[in-house]
This record gives sequence, structure tokens and C-alpha cells, in this order.
Amino acid sequence: MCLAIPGKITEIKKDKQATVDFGGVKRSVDTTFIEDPAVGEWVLIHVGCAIQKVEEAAAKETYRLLYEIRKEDLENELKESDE
Amino acid sequence: MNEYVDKIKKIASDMGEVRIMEVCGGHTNTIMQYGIRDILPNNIKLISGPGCPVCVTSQYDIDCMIELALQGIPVATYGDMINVPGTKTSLRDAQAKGADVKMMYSIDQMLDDKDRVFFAVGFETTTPMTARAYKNGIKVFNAHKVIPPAMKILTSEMKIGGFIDPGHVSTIIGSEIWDNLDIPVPQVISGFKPEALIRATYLLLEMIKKGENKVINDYHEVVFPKGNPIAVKQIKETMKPMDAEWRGIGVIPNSGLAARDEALDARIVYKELFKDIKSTENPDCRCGEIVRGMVEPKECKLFGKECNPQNPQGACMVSESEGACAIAFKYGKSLSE
Repeated sequence: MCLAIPGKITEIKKDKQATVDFGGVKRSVDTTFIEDPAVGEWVLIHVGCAIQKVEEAAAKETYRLLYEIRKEDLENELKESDE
Repeated sequence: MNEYVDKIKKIASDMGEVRIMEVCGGHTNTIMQYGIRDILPNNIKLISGPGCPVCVTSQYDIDCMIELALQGIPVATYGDMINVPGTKTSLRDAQAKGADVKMMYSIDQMLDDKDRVFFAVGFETTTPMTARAYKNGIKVFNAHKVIPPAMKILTSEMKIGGFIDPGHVSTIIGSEIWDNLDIPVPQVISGFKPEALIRATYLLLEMIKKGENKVINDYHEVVFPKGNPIAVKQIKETMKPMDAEWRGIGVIPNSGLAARDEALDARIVYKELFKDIKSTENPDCRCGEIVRGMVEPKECKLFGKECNPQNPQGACMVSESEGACAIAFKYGKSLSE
């Protein structure tokens, strides 16, 4: 339940909502807890909310690892946030 | 990875048995998947602590939610929770009988649904989203757990040499919390990669050998001293500490959270419905001891037989990503082998 996935902000919408790209899959994400989120920045997402900004290199490395070791969980999480 | 395995072998060669506890189900998952326990020297034991939110939720709390749903009140919760068996039935069974039980993946799926009660479970990583529920006027049955008080209890009751602190919990609460925990053992905040967990084990052994009780933040990419201040502020604005019951551990002072606004506290709003609930657990299920790291899943006589992921008898068999029994079942071996 504490799994968090990095993604890149591609659009800032109203009410602290943003579109985030997870390796080509785009999802709507809440950014209430992020100070000044900006397009192009990477954030760590947990149950549909961004919980921290993260450097691009670290984000990509984490994503790669998640894809490698937790592919199932990653796919579930992304499928889930789509609903 | 090998570099630190070699270092561990070297440093551990003249140490006695050392028990290191991880308190994050995500860490347990990586440790099991990569067989990290197998590559450590025999005297270095990694033990899984109460790192699975679904597993530590008390039977009483689950029974309360099932009762609410059966009484016709719409409820919502996160994925795994609906499969956990209560005393008589589960939320999923209640749903099959016609109760309105919504399984969600994000709090945004119910923020407009003010008649629905949110069964909030999870550690500090998941708590900020519940702050958003309160701010949107949602009634919450709050079963969140706060990890540091539980670690303090476990340290005083069990022989633990050091803790691998949870990564994303620390992203929210920050590394300073651990500095202030005042426990007589060292801690390392770790990420989720196998090499990170091996390195954390080495750093702990190094501190144990030197007799140091420091906290090392080894997940500095996303863990800062103050955590996420916006999330922490919203949690404090909407919730206050309360004593909470943990499966297998009992009541731990100030280890739970309750709404500051009592009108949104489902435990208070619906207290009449809960007054006759008598919760009991399957006497053969050893979840309680498993979440404390006292026994391994294979030591439970139900494990892999009556109790399996398709038909869980206890909470630890439910979450495939975090429950000690479900993980042990998935990777086909004991957590300590």
C-alpha cells in the first residue's frame, strides 16, 4: 500500500489537478501536497496523489526498477488510477 | 550488490546473532523477491515487522465496517481491505449480499459522495489523502496507523538490533521524526531496491558494532528532514492522535488518528451500530504473531492449506504486495529461509 510511482507532469489543470505521464501512460493526479508543481517536473505518486518532487535521474531509475521487479504492481497501480 | 554482501560477511563474522527488522511491506517484498535472506550470513536475521496496513487493522475495526455496510450505509475503502475476513464475513461477502461497498484506488473517486463512509487504512504515506477527504466533508472511519510508536513498543519487547525504516512513510513524515524516536538501536531509512536494502543492512551492522544509535537517511532522493510539510500540516489540521488497536500487538498509545471534527468521525456518528459488536479471530490463525516477527508463515498450521490467497483465513494472507503470508506463498518459501 505504500508503493509510490514516479511520473512526469505534462499539464497543470485547475484545482491542483495535473496530468502525469508514467512511461507513456497518462493519468490525472492530485498535487495538493506539492509546492509549485510545474510542467516537466517529476513527482512521486501514491494512490492518485503526488507526495514529493523527485529528480529526473532518480525518477527514471526508480521507474526502471519498478518495471523490472514489480511490473504487476505497477500495472495495477496505473490501471487503478485510470478509473 | 556483491560489494556490500562481502562487507556484511566480513563485519558479521565476529558478531553474535543480530535481528534486523523491516517495518515496510514494500521492503519485505523486495527482500523476498531477491532472496536477500538467503545471501546473508546465518547470524544476521532480517525479520518482517508490522509493515502491512491491512494486516495490522484490528478485527473490531473490520467488523465495524462490515456492520455499517450491512446496515445499508455506503462505504468505500482501498483494494485489499475488502477481502480481509472479519469475525463472521468480509466486506466482499457483504457486497455480494447487496451492501454498497466501493473499492477505490484514489480518494478522488469519492470526494463528491458525501453519504459514503470512507474506511481509511494505511500508514503515514496514505494519511494525507484522508486529510483531503475530511476537507471535503467526507465521514471517515479512521483506522490509520502511525508507525513510530509501534516501533518503540517492539524495541522494548523484542530483541531487535536495528530497524530498516520505511521509505515512503519517511517521505511524508521526514527523517527528523526518527532522530527523535529515542530508541536504543540504530536505524537506516532505505529505498526499495535490493542493493539499497543490502546496503542498509550493512550500515546497521556497522553502527551496531560501534554501539551507535544513529539514524542514517539512505533514501535522500525523496526523504527530507521535514518530510512533506504541506501534507504534514494538512494531517495535523484535520486529525488528532488517538490510542489504536493493532492486530497482534494490542492497543498502542497515540498510534492512531481521529478526526478533529467529530461530525466527520464515523466511530462517533455511528457508535450505536457498533455497540454490540463482539470480535473474535480464528484461534488457529497466527497473524498476530507474524506481524510482530515472532513466527514465520510456515509455522502456522493453516498456511498454504485452508489459508491461501484465494481463501484467506487471516489478514496476512490478503495483500499480495505486503502481507507476510501472501508474499511467502507467492515466492514459495519461508520468510526466514
